[in-house]
Amino acid sequence: MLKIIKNLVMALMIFGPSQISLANQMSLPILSGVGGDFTAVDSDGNNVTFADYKGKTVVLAFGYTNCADICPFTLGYLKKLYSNLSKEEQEQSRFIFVTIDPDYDTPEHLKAFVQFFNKDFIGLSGSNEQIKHITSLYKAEYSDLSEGKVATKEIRRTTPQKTSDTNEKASLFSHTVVLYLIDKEGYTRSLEYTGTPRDDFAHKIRMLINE
Amino acid sequence: MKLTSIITFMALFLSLFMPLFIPQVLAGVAHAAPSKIEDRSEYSTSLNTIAVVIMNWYGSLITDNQAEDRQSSFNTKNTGDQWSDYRSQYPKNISQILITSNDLLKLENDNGYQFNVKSKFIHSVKNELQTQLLDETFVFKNTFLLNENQPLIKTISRNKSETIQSADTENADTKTVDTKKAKTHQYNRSHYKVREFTYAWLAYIDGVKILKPTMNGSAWLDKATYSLNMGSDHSEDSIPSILVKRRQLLAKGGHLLRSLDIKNQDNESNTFVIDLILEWKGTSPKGKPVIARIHQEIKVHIKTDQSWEVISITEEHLLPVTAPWMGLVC
Repeated sequence: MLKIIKNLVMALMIFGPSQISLANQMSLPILSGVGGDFTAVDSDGNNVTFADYKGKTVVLAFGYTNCADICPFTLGYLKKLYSNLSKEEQEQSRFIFVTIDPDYDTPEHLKAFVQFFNKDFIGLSGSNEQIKHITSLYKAEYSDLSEGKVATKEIRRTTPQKTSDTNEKASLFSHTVVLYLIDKEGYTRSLEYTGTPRDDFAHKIRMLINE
Repeated sequence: MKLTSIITFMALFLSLFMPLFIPQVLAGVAHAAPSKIEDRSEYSTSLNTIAVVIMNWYGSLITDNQAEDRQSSFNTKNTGDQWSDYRSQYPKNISQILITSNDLLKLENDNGYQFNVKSKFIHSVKNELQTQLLDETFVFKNTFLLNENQPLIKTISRNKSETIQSADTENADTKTVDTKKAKTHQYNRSHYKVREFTYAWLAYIDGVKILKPTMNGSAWLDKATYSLNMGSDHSEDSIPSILVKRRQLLAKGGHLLRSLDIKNQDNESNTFVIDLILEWKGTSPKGKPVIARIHQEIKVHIKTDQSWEVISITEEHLLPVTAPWMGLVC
């Protein structure tokens, strides 16, 4: 985690200023080539395409249920962000969490994980190829950190998967922490993170809902 | 340290220091690249088309001191043919020219553009290397923005000229630090030819058709394959068709060159690849702001008459750098 802070500070010092101004000069520009249509499996095991969410403003995050730190924190942040929105605004938006560990995160388990934070949250899973495709569309990075798998009983988890296997093991991953704000046409319009003030983020969501 | 404390610290850090960064940045960027779409579009077109002339101007000075060679590679269609006296004042036997800084300014009252160039000429006098530092200002007429004429130089002024003796790279002092750089990269005629081509290409894909001759572009523009990857959108077709497809999102705006590299040089097949990172900023057909960070690979074949033929172009849209945290992983 200290590495993240170090990287963040470095990024700000090196290229932050000139590049940040790019986005700030325009209001929520379309980020060309970031995102697009894909197929996945939803929390109920149904095949879905991202086009199914057209007409809704989407906040999309990547992570996995065995993530001990940033994912629960991110979902906690999204929970509060979602509660900043009015009922009508919530109806016009979708908060989607895409797993990067589809081998472990079954649709059912993913559903339990995301709905621990809010019952409206959507978990998307799929085959490894589907996940690879989705992350490539969003230029999101993830990699398996564990040379061998880790016993899940050693991982601090929000919603442990129900299993009788006491020796159950799973992989640990590093992954992007970016939150993608996507408009009603499916265009990515902003890249946020949990350091974004929630009021600012909610304001951006409202801007896209009202476009 | 607890995770929440760390995130709070990050948020605090950003909220405290970002306001300090942004005003400085906006001042700098606004000067270099205007934020208004119309201005930005005009700026990109102006910069790219003028850069074509500037690259030709300097590139054609690098010769073996054969006056006819220097003149024959100089594209007078771009610049007007009244500059031979001025050009004769440059040193002879130039092996490399380094442009150390440049700046494009729009003149008031729509009176054209001013391009300031600071450069370093490495040339030999009686087999001894010398360096000449130059500071020049080129003023261009504004008519080329109408897409009817190529940019024409109105005036040139030499603001400063300084000769440094003994610019031998072995004894380089602080003033010749760039000369050291010249040992690893050749700022020779090829360097300028690649850039002349590239800026003409950028102007072309932004809709400026008058520079086709600069690119030897009458034939290959209809023959080369253009492969486009924009998110989930993949297409491969002719250049005109892909440009139409691109404009379905990148409707009005301009490309700026961010980096250029030459790779995969193959002397046997006489091919090489120009590797470009571009930035595009503008609006969609619906008038929504759009930004793109574009990676292009242009495969070029050098024909026996030394003219260039583009074989293929591949383009991928990358993640635009809009925030310092976007590359972070946990």
